[in-house]
Amino acid sequence: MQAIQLRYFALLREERGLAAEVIETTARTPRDLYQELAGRHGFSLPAERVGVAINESFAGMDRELAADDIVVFIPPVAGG
Amino acid sequence: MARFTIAATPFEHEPFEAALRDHRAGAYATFEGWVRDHNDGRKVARLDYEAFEPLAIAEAERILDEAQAKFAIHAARAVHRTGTLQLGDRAVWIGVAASHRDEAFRACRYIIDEIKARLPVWKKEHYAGGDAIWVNCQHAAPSELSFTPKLDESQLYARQLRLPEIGEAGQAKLKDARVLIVGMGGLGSAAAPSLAAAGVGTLGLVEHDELDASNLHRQLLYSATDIGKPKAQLAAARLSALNPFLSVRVHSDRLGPANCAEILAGYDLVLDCTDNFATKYLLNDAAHLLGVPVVQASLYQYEGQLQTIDAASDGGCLRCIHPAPPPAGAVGNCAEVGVLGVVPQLFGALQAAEALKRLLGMPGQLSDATLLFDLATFETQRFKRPRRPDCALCGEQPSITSLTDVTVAQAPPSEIEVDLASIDHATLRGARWIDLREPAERSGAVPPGTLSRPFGGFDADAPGFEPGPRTFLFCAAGRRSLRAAQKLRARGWSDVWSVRGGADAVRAILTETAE
Repeated sequence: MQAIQLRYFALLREERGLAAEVIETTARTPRDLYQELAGRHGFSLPAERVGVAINESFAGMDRELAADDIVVFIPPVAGG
Repeated sequence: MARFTIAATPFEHEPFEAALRDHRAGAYATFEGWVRDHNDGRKVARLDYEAFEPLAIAEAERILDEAQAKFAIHAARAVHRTGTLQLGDRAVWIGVAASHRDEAFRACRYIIDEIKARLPVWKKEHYAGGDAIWVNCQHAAPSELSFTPKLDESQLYARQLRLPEIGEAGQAKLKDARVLIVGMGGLGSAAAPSLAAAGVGTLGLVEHDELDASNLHRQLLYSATDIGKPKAQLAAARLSALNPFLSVRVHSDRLGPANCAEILAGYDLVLDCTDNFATKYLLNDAAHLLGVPVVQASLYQYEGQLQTIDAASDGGCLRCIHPAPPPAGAVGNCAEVGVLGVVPQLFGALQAAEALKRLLGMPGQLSDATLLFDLATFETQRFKRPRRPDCALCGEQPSITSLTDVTVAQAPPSEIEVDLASIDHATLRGARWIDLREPAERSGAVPPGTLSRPFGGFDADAPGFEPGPRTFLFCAAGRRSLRAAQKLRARGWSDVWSVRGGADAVRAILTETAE
């Protein structure tokens, strides 16, 4: 188990109902983590359609997570 | 008889000449503008003129008043055509009667120059190749211009010329710059005046919509009195009023894979001010495939994202974050989920700021970073955006090598496959049929006139695949024809279909097509 700081944007924030939280998880990658959260909160977007940033840089969904990482899931948006 | 006339159809000049007859006049000068067959090196086939009539008439009457006041003439008349004009057609006619020839010539020259510069009349050039573009550099100049005192352009920029990063040299760079704004909605109508006011010399506007009442809460460039009018032309007129030294080009066709390269070719920088994934991915891909940097903003209710896609930087592209757009309908646009008006105003201004920084070569640009700003919390985040080695566009082995419409390319089979049994006989008889089977596997009858294009050497540019009548593709089972139809749809051709069930399904309806 490690603590991960999570932030959500746009559609994901709406679906989660909050903008930030800290969770304890065994997920090793953002993809595992997203799937865990999607199952729990009913996210509508599949993992391959969500972007992720870790500690202020965009990253791949399969990068290894470390304790206290700040993970931000970013859904695509197109409004203008 | 009014002194200025807008003629929607070809006109004779004699009645206008007759109205100028005056025994005091010893001189009568006329000018005619004709439609010529070339412009800017391109062969022109015909023209469409469109006028904002009440304003055009009022402005022309003012010009005639001015001519009357400035020159010793007795009378002047002018006519301007609208509608479709063929080569050689008369587009403008001006006649002036005066006591002496000098004044007649000078007044005539004054009137045509002012009409060209000030009348809200737009010209669409249709080229020999079949494409067309709205040209309006001088035509969009506003009526108010005639009443402003003579302006020195540098007066407009006095406050920014003081900035050490700008000065005379920076201002000259802005003057030389050509920026294309794709989408004149919330983002575009905020970004465009910022760039115009800053002195960016050439602005192109891509917008095919007309002004809707629901636009006005966030698109402050427009007025409620203009609802229903074409936004690109309203914007061009407003921007020229804001900065009369600006050159504005209007592109009123929808941007797509087919015209993207041609439109972008005339610009140094693109602002993606669109509100749909198809155009966002198209412009993202164009940034790499055509090498034109794209400043991209996308919004969601109270928040937005800002980034620049630049093939010359080591930053990633939209596909590095989101390799493909979300499924249709999964993420709403402004029309569906709503947006606070100040959000596009703010992000449009931020796009303009990023564009100016790029044109001036200032540090701190977003070519390798993405800015997220949430107005609900006033929190900003800035993320580095490295290239992903496996990105299909800008990675180490790119698989995307041409511009396509991503939303069409991923259209589900249900929207591309067709059951022949459900199609009426007339349609089946009038259709084009293409057999994608290899020669060795062909058996049984096919509709008369069927083209053979084996899928093994599939080439979307081969004769027969060009857009035309409704086209049915078939193979043995319907899988190859589905893939071929998807490829052709991705090139923007909408009336091409894959036959479900393949050659057997075709055989089943053959008796009907033969009737």
